[in-house]
Amino acid sequence: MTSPIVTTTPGVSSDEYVYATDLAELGEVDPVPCSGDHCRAIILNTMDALVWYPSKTGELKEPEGQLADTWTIAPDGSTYTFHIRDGVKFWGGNPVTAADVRYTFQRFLAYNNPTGFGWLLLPWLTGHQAGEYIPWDDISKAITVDNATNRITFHLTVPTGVFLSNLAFPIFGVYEAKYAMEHGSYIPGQNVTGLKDSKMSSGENIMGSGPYRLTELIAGEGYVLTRNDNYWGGPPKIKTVKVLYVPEWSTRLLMLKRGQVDAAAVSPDVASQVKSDPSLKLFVAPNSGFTEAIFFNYNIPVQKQPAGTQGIASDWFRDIHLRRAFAYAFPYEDYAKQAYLGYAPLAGPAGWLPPGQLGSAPNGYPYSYDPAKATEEFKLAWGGKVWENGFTITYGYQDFMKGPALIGGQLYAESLQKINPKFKLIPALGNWPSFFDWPLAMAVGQNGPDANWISTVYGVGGWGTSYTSYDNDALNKLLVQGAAETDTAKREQIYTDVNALIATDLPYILTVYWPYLMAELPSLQGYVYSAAWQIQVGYAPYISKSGGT
Amino acid sequence: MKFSSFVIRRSAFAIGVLIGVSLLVFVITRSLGDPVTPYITHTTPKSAVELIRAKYHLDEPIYVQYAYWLWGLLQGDLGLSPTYGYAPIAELLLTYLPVTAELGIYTIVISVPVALWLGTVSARNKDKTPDHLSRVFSIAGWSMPQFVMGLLLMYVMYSAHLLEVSPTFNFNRVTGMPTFDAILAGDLSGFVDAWRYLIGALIVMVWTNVAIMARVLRSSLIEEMGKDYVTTARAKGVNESAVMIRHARKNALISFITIAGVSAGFWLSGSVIIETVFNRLGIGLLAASAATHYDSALVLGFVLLTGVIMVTANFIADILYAHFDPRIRLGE
Amino acid sequence: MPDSRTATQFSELRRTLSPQLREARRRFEAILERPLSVLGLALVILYLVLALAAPLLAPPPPDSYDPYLIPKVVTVGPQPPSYEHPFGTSGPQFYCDVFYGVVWGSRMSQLIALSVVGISLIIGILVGAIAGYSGGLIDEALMRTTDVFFSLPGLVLAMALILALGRSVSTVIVAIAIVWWPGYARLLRGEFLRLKNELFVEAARAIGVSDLKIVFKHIVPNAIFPVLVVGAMDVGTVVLVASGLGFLGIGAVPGTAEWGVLISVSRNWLLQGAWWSTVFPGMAIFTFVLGWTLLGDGLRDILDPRTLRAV
Repeated sequence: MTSPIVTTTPGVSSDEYVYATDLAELGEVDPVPCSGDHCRAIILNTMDALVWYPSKTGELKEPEGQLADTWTIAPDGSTYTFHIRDGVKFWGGNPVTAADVRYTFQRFLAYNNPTGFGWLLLPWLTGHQAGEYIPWDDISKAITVDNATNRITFHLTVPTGVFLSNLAFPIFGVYEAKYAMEHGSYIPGQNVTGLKDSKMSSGENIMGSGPYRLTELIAGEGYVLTRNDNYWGGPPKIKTVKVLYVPEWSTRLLMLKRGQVDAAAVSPDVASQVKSDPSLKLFVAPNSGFTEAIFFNYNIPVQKQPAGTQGIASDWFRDIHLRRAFAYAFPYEDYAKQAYLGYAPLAGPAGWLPPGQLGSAPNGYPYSYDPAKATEEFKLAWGGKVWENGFTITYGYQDFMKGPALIGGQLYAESLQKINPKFKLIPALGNWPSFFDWPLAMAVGQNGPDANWISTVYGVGGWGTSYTSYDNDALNKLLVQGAAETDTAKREQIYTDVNALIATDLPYILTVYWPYLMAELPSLQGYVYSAAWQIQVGYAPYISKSGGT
Repeated sequence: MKFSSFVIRRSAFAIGVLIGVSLLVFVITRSLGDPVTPYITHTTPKSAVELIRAKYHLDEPIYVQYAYWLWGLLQGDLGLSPTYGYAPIAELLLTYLPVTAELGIYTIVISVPVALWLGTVSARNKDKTPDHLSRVFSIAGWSMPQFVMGLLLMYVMYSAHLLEVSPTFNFNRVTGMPTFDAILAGDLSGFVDAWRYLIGALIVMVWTNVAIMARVLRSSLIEEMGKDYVTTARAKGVNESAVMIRHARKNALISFITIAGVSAGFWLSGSVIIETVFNRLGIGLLAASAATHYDSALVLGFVLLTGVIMVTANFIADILYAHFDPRIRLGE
Repeated sequence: MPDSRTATQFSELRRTLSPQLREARRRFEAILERPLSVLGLALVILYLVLALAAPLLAPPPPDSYDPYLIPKVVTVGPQPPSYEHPFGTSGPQFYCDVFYGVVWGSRMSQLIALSVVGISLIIGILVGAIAGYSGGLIDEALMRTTDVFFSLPGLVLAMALILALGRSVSTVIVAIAIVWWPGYARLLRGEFLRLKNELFVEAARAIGVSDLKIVFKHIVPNAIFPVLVVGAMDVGTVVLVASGLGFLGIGAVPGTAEWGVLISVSRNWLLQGAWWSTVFPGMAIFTFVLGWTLLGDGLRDILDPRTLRAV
């Protein structure tokens, strides 16, 4: 894409919002395969969705309507009907109709990319799993429209109470069907499994209706959003949003101090540099929407382990004593202090879902650092053989978690050595998802906005269980119930049971709630980080600048 | 032999080396695990993966695989980079190349005359003070790692309030080189910003380049000055300066061209380090972050590009070398 | 007062000193005449001593299972040099004691450099000898192979090799050695070709000495001097590459006592004023490389029979 000529004048003007990010995944805009932070930020800011979490002050309440002004849900949760509000136009001038909304969702079903976010809807809408080929019949009967009244109806094959919340996740942005089809994109009825639409990925064929338009996208460098002056919700105050990829912290800090950017991603280890600078503010999100855990592999591929590994078998972690031992051996406080300098609250004892959220229980993860108990449990593991023979195992982590994960690994290794010199833990960096092949793997997963996100990690079909082979029938049944249940009180009870089960069975080690920190200039107003969106840039229409340059 | 047949022979040689480089890279790719990985993303469904496997004939003997891999390469398919959102690697390299090239251009333009001057001064004043000073400069420049030099320079520039910003989004993007784009757009403050972005990296590069080049030039010049034809010229009474300028310098220039070919390698490996230190979005930074992210396809794409650039640079150097010195052609 | 008999014995000894020893003594004196070479030698010896004395100067904590893991000094930010931490600390996230890192890092650097130079010298000499002596197709094939290696900058190829081999100190050594050997092979082959036609080789052949014996007993010892000179300087150059890889984050794991790695974990705090955790390891690298470069330079001037050649 060619760029407009804009000068790099010192300081950012009052109608611009510039963010310096440390995440490089700037590539695709197409909602269908999108999973990264930046594509979701672009979707949130350039496309409207049926429903969303406004989260004006970062709180998570019920989803509200955006394109949809009213909706009805059948008592048994099997159909959801939305009325599209009047007066909303795409940037090109055509009105937003239910047919466009249907087109958007049909693309999700037709492409069915296994690691996009289509799985939020698919199993309930069609009964199929992510990645499977869905026959056109199933797609066409899942979503129907009434053009006369501008209504769209979703017919669920598996009723559920989480459908609305999932619909509100910032991925289901709506774009114009006619525009996309005329320019070479998906025609309903085609078989597009395994294909990629490059014109959609680049954003060319996306004619949205949102408060901003994507005017520039350079892979690996950044993107620019320009205001839609005719936005139905009123034009936002900020005219241009620029997101720059700046991998190195000192440079981000310099750009902030110079006033070249308004906000920049910060990692906890350097947060003190922001706090000690009177010209900058440190923003700490109360809930980032992510929980960090160390995953046990229940079906360790012994042949894939690095040389020197010893003392394990593929079903090694099936012994509860061993799992408990590992849970008691992890130095939680030291880790949170050294890796996150206190910015990450411990996930224990509450558990995967943070306190205050529906489904959170007071004792979902009742384990803390206790070397004495760890020693006891190790001696009981596998009839004492683990204690006698010792082990040498690999602990895996991904590069984007490098600092904390490595520190965690080093602390863990030291702690295990102190318990028994024959216990050797070797931290190693790996790629997603192959690092899950190792006996222990540290990763983060989403914990909201709805309690059902817990099933991505503990339930059947979720990415967590698919990589770790954890399989607990009783838990699966409870999680399915929890998802299907529409009554809030009943759901709470179900998740209390879920948490009780998790506490005793100890599927994984939970470490901290992952923090999100940002450094901003005092002139930046209205910035919100919502655990419901989980994006760095935020929702630009909330942002304004005080003072003025 | 004639110049043209020399060129042909050298071209064949260059192509041979390039094939050798591609073989080396191919061997590395095959030792990294499933060969289909660079061409797929985490969302590619199984059926599509099988299609790609067939396209590259990954189930056939290794020499067949090599042929199709090479063919894909020549068409610009280097695979996808997971670190950069599965962007095509060729596209990434081309997007980031101008920034690295910009640094290279300014480095050569500045270091060549400076090294020439320094080398000449040293050779003329062999074993006297200027020579010793230049030797100290060269050895110090060589022994100091570029990243330490760069970091200390950043610290000094920052404390002196000279370093204030490192713009990373080039909004005037036409060539992709910030200083040239600013000139083309008539953007003065953009030009100043682009220079601020460049200056630290440039100082380090020039220092290290001059350190080596001056030393080599000095020794070449001294060797030439000891040569018979120069002594003869001197004996004939030809003026000292004239001797230097006409004879020795020309031949020294030849050694120099060779060094310039080698400094292409220096520029490329230096750019990996210097772009990391100064946060310049060039191919060096791309390679460095790829290596830490275990993005092997991108690292290997960078290796191939480096090989092509170096072989081309050496080829040009050899041709120029032969042009200036007919003896080389005859010797071949 | 020296005994007169001892004095006589001494002068006798001196007169009967073989020419080689006299030559060696002359050359050693030549080193001492050049101040820069003395400086180089002093630095080399300093780092050797530092490396050997590491457990005394910076004792690892009693429960440490790897002395190369720098013990942590957990503070909110980096600490300037003090009595307990003479070179200061690096602060979050790896909380390194810089003095410990520099001392043990000298051991690590020499380990890496001497291993790399040793391995690649052996490979290079073998390959160079084979190529130089065999000539013809074998020579051609081997030289084309080295051409391929020369067309890739060392750091770049080392990066790619480490990716393939995995990240650890030993793979760094192997990767750099693979990058390094072609240089020695080329050098030795060049010397070979020069010496092959020298008189003494012709003479040996005429007497009927076997080829292998000629190569290893006659040619190699003479060809080896320039290679050793380059080898000495390379000890410094290898540390430049290895610390570069450590700085980029490709070599050893952060928190390891390696100079480049130590500098990389200090990066975020440099512009905040924490100069010590960059300057001390940086100066260590600089003086180490300087020492070996000066030494190699000095050796070259001394051992090279063609001492008229400058540099």
